[in-house]
Amino acid sequence: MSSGQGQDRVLDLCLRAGDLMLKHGAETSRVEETIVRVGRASGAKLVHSFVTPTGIFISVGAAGAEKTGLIRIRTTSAINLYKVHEVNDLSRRFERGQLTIDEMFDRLNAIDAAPPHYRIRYQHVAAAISSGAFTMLFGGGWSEFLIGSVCGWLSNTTMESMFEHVPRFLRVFIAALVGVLVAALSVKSGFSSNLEAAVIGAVIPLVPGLSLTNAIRDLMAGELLSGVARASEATLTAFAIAVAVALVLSFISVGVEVAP
Amino acid sequence: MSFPYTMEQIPHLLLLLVMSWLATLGYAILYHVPKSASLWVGLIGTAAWLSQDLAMRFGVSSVGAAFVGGLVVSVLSEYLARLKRMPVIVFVVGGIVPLVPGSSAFRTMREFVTGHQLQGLAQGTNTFLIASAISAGLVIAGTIMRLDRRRRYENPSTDRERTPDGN
Repeated sequence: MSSGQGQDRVLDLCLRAGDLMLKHGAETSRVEETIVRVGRASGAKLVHSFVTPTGIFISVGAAGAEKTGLIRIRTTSAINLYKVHEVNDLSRRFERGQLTIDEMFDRLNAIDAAPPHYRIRYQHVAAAISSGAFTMLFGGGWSEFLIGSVCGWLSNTTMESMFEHVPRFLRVFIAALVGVLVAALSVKSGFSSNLEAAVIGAVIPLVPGLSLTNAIRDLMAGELLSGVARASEATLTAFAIAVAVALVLSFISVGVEVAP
Repeated sequence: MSFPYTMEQIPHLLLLLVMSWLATLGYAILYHVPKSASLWVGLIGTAAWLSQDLAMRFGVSSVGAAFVGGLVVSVLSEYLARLKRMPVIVFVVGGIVPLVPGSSAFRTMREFVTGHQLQGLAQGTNTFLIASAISAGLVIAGTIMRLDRRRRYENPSTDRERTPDGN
């Protein structure tokens, strides 16, 4: 770890591992820990990392001669916990000395280029089944199961089919609007009687579960900045869903007394 | 304390258990939870839903029941994460989904839309309390189970002052 070249490589490795984990939905405290572990395992005497949901700052090296690097993270939309697990596993094996730095680079590239863990159509099916199951948990019957599945599938496909550069708030809002509209229409046309269950089924694939969990876990680990940032992300998403539901209800249920 | 379900409710309960498993599993697939863990994530969701339901049937308020559910999710997730050597987040994300206060949130919106502001505020407060209770359950169990791990990670110091070569 004396040569500047090696120091650059270690810095690059730490940045790459951290970037991969953060982009695919790990909580920031875990990313920080992984970076420190990887840096120490590759022989750096001093590793400092500061991770926020939108950027990573690291310095690696020997005291007095450390290198500092920074990566800006723009999107966290491609959530993939399998990749988070893979990088985590890799860092653990690297720490035990089972891999060299070059192998680590190869593995990280392979993880980055790997296709989604579940294919996209399985994801849509999963969204549909999950939404249908939720309508039953919230007191629906089999007809609500059907409606919930269709609406959940619709809102998930709407969400996925929109362009990446559309703001997240807007994407969630439109997807929720489509799903809830179909749910409300099906109730209004007399196909089912439980509006509550159908609407919950429609918005379930959009619920910000990951941001919420990450926010809690980050706050718990003392990462106040990341925790608050994630919490506001989750609040914004939840707000988008709430506005969509309110909008549909105020248009569709005009003159119709919603079941008490 | 008697058995909280009557005989007629058992088949419906079993159906709901299967449904909570399916719901959690589907949500896990949405987030690409590793295949070897996804069935377990479904079971955590089922356990969370069942414990919440049991707590409600024993007369605990909805806020208290949500707390119990969060506690169960957190303990099971930390345990399974150690067992299968995966990040805890993999298990927690799916596990808390059956606890989401969906109907409470929906009623909040409905009251506001139909012009009942006061009832809406009451429901909104209730929703917020349930959500806070879930996170309180997660935090308490998680912190206790993470104590030893944090210590292991923090002990070898990265502080400048304490590096052997000095500064």
